[in-house]
Amino acid sequence: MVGTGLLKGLWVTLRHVVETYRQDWHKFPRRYRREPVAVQEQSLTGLFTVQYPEERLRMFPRFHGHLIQKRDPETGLYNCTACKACERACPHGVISVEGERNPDRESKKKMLVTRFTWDAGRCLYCGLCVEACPSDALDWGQGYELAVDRREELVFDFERLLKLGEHAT
Amino acid sequence: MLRTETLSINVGPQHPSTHGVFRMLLTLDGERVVDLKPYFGYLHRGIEKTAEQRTYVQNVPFTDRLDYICGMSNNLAYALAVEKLAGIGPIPERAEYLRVIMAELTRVVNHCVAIGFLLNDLGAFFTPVLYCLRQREYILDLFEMASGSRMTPSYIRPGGVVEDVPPEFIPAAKKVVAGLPAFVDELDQLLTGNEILMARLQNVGVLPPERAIAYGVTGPVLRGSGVAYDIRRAEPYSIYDRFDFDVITEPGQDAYARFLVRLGEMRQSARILEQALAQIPEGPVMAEGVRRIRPPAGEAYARIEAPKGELGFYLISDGSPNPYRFRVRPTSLINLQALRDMCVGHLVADVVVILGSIDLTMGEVDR
Ligand code: SF4
Ligand code: SF4
Repeated sequence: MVGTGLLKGLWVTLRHVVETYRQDWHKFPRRYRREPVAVQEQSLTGLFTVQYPEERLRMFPRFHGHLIQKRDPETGLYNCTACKACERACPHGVISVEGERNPDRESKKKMLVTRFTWDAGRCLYCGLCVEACPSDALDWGQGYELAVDRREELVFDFERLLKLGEHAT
Repeated sequence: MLRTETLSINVGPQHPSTHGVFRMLLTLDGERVVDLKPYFGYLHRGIEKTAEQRTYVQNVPFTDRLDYICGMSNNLAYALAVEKLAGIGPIPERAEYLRVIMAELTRVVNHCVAIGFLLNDLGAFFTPVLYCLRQREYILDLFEMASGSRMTPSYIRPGGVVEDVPPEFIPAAKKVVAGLPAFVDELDQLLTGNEILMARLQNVGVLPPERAIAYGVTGPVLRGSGVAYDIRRAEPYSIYDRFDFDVITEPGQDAYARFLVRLGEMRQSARILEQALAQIPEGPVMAEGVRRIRPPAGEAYARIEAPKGELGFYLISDGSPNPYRFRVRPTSLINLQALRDMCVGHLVADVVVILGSIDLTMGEVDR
């Protein structure tokens, strides 16, 4: 009969509408609190969105948010040895590293980083740099609210990456 | 005697239904299309040339950006080509299974997007596409869990996969796959029997099998013309010979047949995924000794059945760490060739539908 296909389709959408409101009601207080919520559960009908920014998803541990520079938790010194492995691994020349010998011979740190920049605007977020790093210095952070006003702010220097690293751990 | 003139109009490059920056010069007689010229190149980024200056591993992220809807499939095709060129192997079992799982999940993602946006082009504004994108979101979550990125994973590398999936991946994937048949059934119920959809899609964009073969069209477009050709069957790569699945064909030759093929392929992908997730062994995920890839001089071509059709990479090595030539056989570009044939004689409104039924990604057409 002509029209049965249409009615069947309408029935599906109607079911979704009802289900959405029903599920919203179930989540009522939690949904409007400012806490990161766990990864959404799977439901074939009903809600599957989150109400950003009140509700936030917790990112997966491997999420490629932005780069961070890590410190040794015991000594507080940064792990980076200015070996330039990340610079060489990068397909786009996004990272540039410069280092010099530490004048203080007694110090545990043999090499100091004089300049380290990461241009987030040109990054492919591929992770080849993190894989290449031999000293467990470079890693991914979980942040994703990285919008800035000016293009220059997309270039992260060493201090900023270290700060992001402190924030992440 | 009434004299009429033909009218030329541009559709695109900034047109919501052209699936990216793509321009068609239509010559119209009234509302009938008498000629169509596709113009592309707006998204040309020179990936093939750029790749000649990068090492083999550094090129993996570029392949993500060819057909950005199916990053994992592009990675797989490229990895197979490099492995053939450099003689890397054997690939560990677990990595082979992970590759198949990722490739089939990508197929579901692509068909979700293809069907959803086809319906959007038809004017079923955002209800079907939202249901499709929801399912895609669950799968993209799996990609993110494994690789850290949703659309540009760079996960499948020459020699295996970049790192093992986290322990929670397999149960999560099983859950998503278990929900897939219900999702396809719902889509089926929502769309397949719909009279408006049938009126708009049936006998639109007819591509007879001989023309399809002559153009070199592959993928769901070819199978929608009734030709049972699937590289997973015709020339099994990776471990596809171990799985039990059907090659979906439809005799219709029109846009509706392509739509049905895509629905059917999602069901078949769910079947493959179920088998792969049940059989996946433990073990390493990267072949031994592939830190620095320096293939001997020579050339290699590897191809896979990507969601849109045959995707191939042709690599020439001169013995240096960079490829001497990096050539992509893009699925979308070659399927696009048939567009004129399919459109001439139809109404303007059908052009948009035909374009949607071919399922293009401009990132792959222009590279
Ligand atoms: S993620 Fe990729 S593109 Fe970005 S800095 Fe690292 S290696 Fe370079
Ligand atoms: S971040 Fe890692 S790879 Fe890059 S210079 Fe520092 S130690 Fe070397």
